[in-house]
Amino acid sequence: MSSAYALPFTGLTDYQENRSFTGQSGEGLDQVKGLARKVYFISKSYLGLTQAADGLSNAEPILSLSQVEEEKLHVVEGLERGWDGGTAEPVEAGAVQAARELLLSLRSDHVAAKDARVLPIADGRIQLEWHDVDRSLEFEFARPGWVAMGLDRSDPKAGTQYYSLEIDQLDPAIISRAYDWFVQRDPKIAPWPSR
Amino acid sequence: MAFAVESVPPEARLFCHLPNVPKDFWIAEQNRPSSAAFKGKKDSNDRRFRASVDWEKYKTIAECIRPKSMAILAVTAAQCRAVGKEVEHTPICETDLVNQAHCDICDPVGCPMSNTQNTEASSKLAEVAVIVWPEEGLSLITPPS
Repeated sequence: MSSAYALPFTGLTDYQENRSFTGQSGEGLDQVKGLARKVYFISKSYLGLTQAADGLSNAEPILSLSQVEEEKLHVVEGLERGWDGGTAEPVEAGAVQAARELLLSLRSDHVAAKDARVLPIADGRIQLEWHDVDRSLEFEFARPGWVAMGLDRSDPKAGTQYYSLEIDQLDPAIISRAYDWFVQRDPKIAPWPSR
Repeated sequence: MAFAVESVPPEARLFCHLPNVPKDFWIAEQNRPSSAAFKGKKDSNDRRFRASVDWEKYKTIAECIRPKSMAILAVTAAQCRAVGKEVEHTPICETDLVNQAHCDICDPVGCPMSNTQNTEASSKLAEVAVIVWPEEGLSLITPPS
C-alpha cells in the first residue's frame, strides 16, 4: 500500500479512494463528486485536522509513516555488524531518525508518495530511494545533511543524466521539489541546476 | 605470511557481494542493483571512501557466495577508473581472516571524493555492474508495490 494512512472504515487508502474516482466513467458526476467530498472530509477528520477544507496544502505535518516504510526502517535498524557478510557497520540510530524525519517531511507535502526503499550503507549510514522504469531519486544521509541524487534515463541517446545536490540540513522544500521532479518529470521544478 | 600487493589491470573482474537483506538492494524496475552496494566506508586515516570487492584472479564466483548473498555482481577495474575511482589490491592476512583476493574500490590517492562525487560514482558503477551469480539473473524478483 502506498499511503501514510488508511481509512479505517474501508481498509482502503486515501490515495486509492481518490484515485478510484478518477476512473469512474459510468456514474453521475454529482454522485461521484459527493462521494469524493465525503471521503475527503472523513480523511481530514481522521488526520485530526482542524482547518477549513480548503485543500490539503494547509494540512498539519503527517505524524506517521506508512506501514511498509515502518517495516523497512525496522528491518534496517535491526541489522547487526557484518550484515553484508563482511565488515559492514550496524545502521546508526541517528541515521534511522534522520530518515524518519525526511520521510515524514515528504509525506506532509505528498500524502500519496510512493513508499521509499530503505537501504543500509556499509559505514552505518542510510539511503532512501524511489525508482521508476527510467528515473530514480535517492537521498543519502551524510551526517548531518543529505545528498540528493536524481537519475534520468528517459533519453537513450543522451544516456543516464545525473543530478546531485548536497543539503546541509533537512529542508522540506528541497525534499518536496526533488520528489516533484521524480514524479512530474519537469526539469524546471528540480532543486538542482540543470546541466 | 603476507601477500604481495599487486597492481590491478584494467580487465580484472571484481566481485561485489549483494546482501539478501533488505531486498531493496535489487531494483527490479531497472534491472540493476542499488548504488548503496558500492558506497563502502570512509577511511578515517586518509578520508577516502573504500568499498570491498574480491579479485577474480584469486577467488571464484562460487567462493564469493555467502549465506547472506542475494547476488554476486562484477565490475572491471577499467569501469571503476572510468567513474573516477581507483582499485587497490589490499589482501588480508590476519589470524582470523585470510583473503588474497581482497581489493578496495576507492578514491584516488590524495584526492578523497566529496559526498556528491562518491554518490555519483557509486550510481554509475551500479549501472554498469553485471550479475554473475545467480546465472539466471535476478529479473524474476517481483517489483515491490
